Amino acid sequence: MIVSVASGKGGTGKTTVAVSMAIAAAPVTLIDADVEEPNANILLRASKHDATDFSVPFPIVDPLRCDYCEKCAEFCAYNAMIVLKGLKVFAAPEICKSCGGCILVCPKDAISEKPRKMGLINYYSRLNVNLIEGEINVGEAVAKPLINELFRRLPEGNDVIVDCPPGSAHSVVESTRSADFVVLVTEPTPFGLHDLIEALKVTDSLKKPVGIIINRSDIGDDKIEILSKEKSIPILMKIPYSSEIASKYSQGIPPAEFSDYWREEFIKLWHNIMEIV
Amino acid sequence: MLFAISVLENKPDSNLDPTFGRAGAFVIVDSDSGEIIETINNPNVNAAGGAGYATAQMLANKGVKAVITGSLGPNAYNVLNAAGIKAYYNSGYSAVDQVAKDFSAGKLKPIEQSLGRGRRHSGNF
Repeated sequence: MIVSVASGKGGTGKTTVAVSMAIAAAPVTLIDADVEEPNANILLRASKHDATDFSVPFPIVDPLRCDYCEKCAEFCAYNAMIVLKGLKVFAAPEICKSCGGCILVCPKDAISEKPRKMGLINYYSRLNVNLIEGEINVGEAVAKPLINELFRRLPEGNDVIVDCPPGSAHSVVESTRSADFVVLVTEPTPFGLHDLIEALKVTDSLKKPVGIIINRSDIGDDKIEILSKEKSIPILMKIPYSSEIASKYSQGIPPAEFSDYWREEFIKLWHNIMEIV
Repeated sequence: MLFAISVLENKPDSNLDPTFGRAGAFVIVDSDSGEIIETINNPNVNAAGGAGYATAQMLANKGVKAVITGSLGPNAYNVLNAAGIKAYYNSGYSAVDQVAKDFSAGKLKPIEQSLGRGRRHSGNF
């Protein structure tokens, strides 16, 4: 089973929920798909036991073979091939999608591929939670290839929890695409409601079963609960504001690790999700 | 020597378009005669991405040696630089003939570096 933890709004408690649920459901694999700012390990506090480069194929042009015919530039839908006649031909790394089309259309066989490093995949382990973390290089425009690679590295037979990036754009789609269930963490504020509605557009279009967790549930208004009734989406858990949770969070300790009560609650949550799926 | 001016519309009496990669059109002028030799639509106005690269490449392959525009993104700047094309700055929506005269009189400042990302049109002017 794959459960993705997403939110729309940033800072609602996705990582706190994902890591707590992972500790409660262990043994389990946790994917940190928030590759721009991977921070699940701040709460898991595991030591890194392995790391590998993640590279994508990138076109290299042989200037001795190229006759500046521009076929590659005409073909590339993203304008990633730049042909300066008589001077230089090169590909733009942040635009190229590594499709290999330029190689196929080149009549002079002048284009080949070499790996271009765009990030790292890091492996951590603690409390029977195996964390696979993607870490994209600063300035990279597209996270999709790295996020997809994280899902290809899953060990077989393990249950999986995915800590998604915030938002509702392509990287969230990639992080929830293969999920059997999506947990949406929100807060009872106009911001939480607005971004929850955006996130639901993603899960609706992917036809994923969803449930809501309301964090800091005793502040704000009741509009999230009204929405959940209207759309028949279960509220799986409410986490009231607690200075103890906040204080432990500031030390990098998730609720399921320091509190027997919350570990039990997250175990119940996990079983509840398994029953729904 | 040929130079290009980014303009809003594909006509010789258009006004300067302050964007480069997604400028509406380009006017190409021969600096020796002062004559406009060509006006061309910019095919990259609605490009999904890489508009700065593609537009700079198009002008380079037309043999242009200078461009006049309002701002340059880093991609366009790097391609123009690689092609040995100098860029010059003109603000606002000045008339093409005035821009051309100012350029010939050496009144325009060179763009020495890209000032952040390129700009998209945000609506109708």
